Amino acid sequence: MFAARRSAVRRLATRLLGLVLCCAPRHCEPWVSAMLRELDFIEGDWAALFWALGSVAAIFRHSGRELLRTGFRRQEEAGMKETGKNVAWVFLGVVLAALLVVCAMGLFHLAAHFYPPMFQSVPWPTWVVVFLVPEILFVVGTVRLWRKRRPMAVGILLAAVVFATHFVMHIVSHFRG
Amino acid sequence: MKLRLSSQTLKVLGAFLEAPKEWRYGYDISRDTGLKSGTLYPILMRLAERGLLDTSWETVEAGKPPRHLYQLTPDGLQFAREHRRSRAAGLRRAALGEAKG
Repeated sequence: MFAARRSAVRRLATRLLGLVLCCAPRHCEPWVSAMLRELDFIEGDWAALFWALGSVAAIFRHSGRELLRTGFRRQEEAGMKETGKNVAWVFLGVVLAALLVVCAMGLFHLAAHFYPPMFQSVPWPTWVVVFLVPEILFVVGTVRLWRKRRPMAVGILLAAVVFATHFVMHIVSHFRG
Repeated sequence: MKLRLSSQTLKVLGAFLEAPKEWRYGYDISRDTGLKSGTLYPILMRLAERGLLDTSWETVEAGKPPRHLYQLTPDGLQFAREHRRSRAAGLRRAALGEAKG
């Protein structure tokens, strides 16, 4: 009876480590196997069970620490990659907005070249071509891209705000002068 | 990475230094040092991670499961000897300080 109970304890110890071996991360497997092999050489079944329990604790601690270390590193790397991508999209938004403004200015100069009196008599066609149309396009672009590609939308919005500020300052200084 | 040198780690290094050329079994080290598996194996893992400990599987006859063996690497031996020396020097200094005081 006692012998049977003792062997049951040893069996439990073996099963425990066998279970850990199945679930352990790959880098821990040789260590769990090593602990499992040692069980056969431990005198005393209860000592074997305590050996197995200690081994389980050691493996949990080691794999937990490893998980924290690699997990944080991966998260950090992923975060850096994501930030880089976002910055690129914002930059692209700003560049596209700047291109649009350049195109509007070109259009304005072209129109002024072909029909000078209109732009000399009243200022609003200039405002429409150079400021209003691009700003409307910026707002539409920002709204459309906000859900799909927010960083790019932010870039366009940023360019729109800068451009609007510049335009307002230009008008104010023009009318003061 | 710096290895934390606890008294348990020093015990393990001491056990290896007793027979530096020999490959040792985990259970034997545990008996020699009095450390339980939950303390011993994390130390062995850390030493192996830092290249201070070599591990190997015993070659045995077919049908018999092999056992894991451990031995300090040359770097590990140097590390263990340096720490044993510095520890001994520290103990001597402490003893001298006590004697003077």
